[in-house]
Amino acid sequence: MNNEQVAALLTRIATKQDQAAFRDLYKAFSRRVYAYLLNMVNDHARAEEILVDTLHEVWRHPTRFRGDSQFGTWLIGIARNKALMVYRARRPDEIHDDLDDIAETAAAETPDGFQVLADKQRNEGVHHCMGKLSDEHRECMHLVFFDGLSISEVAEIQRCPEGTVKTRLFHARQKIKNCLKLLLQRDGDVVGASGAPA
Amino acid sequence: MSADRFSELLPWYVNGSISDEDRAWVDAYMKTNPDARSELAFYQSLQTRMRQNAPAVPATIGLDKAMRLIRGDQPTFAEKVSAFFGGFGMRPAVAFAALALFTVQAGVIFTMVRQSNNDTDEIRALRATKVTEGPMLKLNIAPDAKEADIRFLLMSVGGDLAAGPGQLGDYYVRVPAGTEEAAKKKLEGNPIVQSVALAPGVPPRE
Repeated sequence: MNNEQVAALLTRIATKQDQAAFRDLYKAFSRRVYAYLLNMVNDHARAEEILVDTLHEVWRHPTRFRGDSQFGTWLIGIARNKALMVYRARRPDEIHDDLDDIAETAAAETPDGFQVLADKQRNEGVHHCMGKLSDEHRECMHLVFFDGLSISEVAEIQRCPEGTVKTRLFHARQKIKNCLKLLLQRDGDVVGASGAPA
Repeated sequence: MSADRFSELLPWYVNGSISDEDRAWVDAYMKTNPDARSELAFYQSLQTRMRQNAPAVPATIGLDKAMRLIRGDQPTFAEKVSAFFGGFGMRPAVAFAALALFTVQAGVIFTMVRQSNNDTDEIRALRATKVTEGPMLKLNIAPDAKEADIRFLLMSVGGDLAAGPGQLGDYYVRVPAGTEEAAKKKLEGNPIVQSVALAPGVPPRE
């Protein structure tokens, strides 16, 4: 749904309190916002609760969206604020374990290492390694690779300069890559200098 | 230097938000650096995995709650209970278990209170068992008078307690018809009676 279609629905909501328009808007963006929230809070019930709260905000103030950005990006910004209010009070900002500690120091790359990782990585492994990232790194990875946002949109949502986004992304990528390597090594698939699985 | 630029542009190349100019640069770089293709493959694979890991939820997730909110409906009883106990960090199942325990405890306490009330029936027998109309005596009895003395006093004049004690310590006593004056004189001489008078009946709310 593009911004013009969104604007039409928002107008109906603002002028007629049109519930059908709200329903259409909700269904168009709920899954994307929910996925973002689940990545943030890692709790299905809480993610749903914040999703409802976020869309309710749109119902109450439909004219606040000015069309300066994509509606989905704007919506995620609202969801982010609500999630941070709930989430920061309940969970430490970062989770550390052995994988995090070695993540960036084990960055020695081999010519074929990426190919092995690309071939061998599993959904569970990616999910596991994403969970090892700090909140900001995980959010950055999600916005780039899951949502497909541009660097300016990520910077807008994370409320930081684009240079900071680049830095976060750099470190997050290193950690993810090395976490996946470590998982493969634990599973017996050695990503060594030859690049060939053992 | 080129490798650094390639690495920096790669995420945006993968997610499709890169500019045409940068895209052309990345394509050209990969033609001359075959190893770069494996890095591209890694991030494309990573993106695919992340999207596959997305929760398979319907687009209507939470929609009912949202519609109730915008209609201004009241939450259901279960939602109220869940929200109440959720405020204490309790899951709904635990909350309902706590509610059940509370109900049982309330039942036990109620039963005990009822039994306790039965135990005081004798004391409460001092109160009127029936409200009578017609002329009666209004007594004011000394605050330190014992219950046994009051009972004996009433028996001495054949009286029944119709009401009292009121806020001022007044008792209303019904005596057999025609004996009011005699009973009044007899009671006036009793040391625990501070005053006695004829009354037309029990005043309202006494």
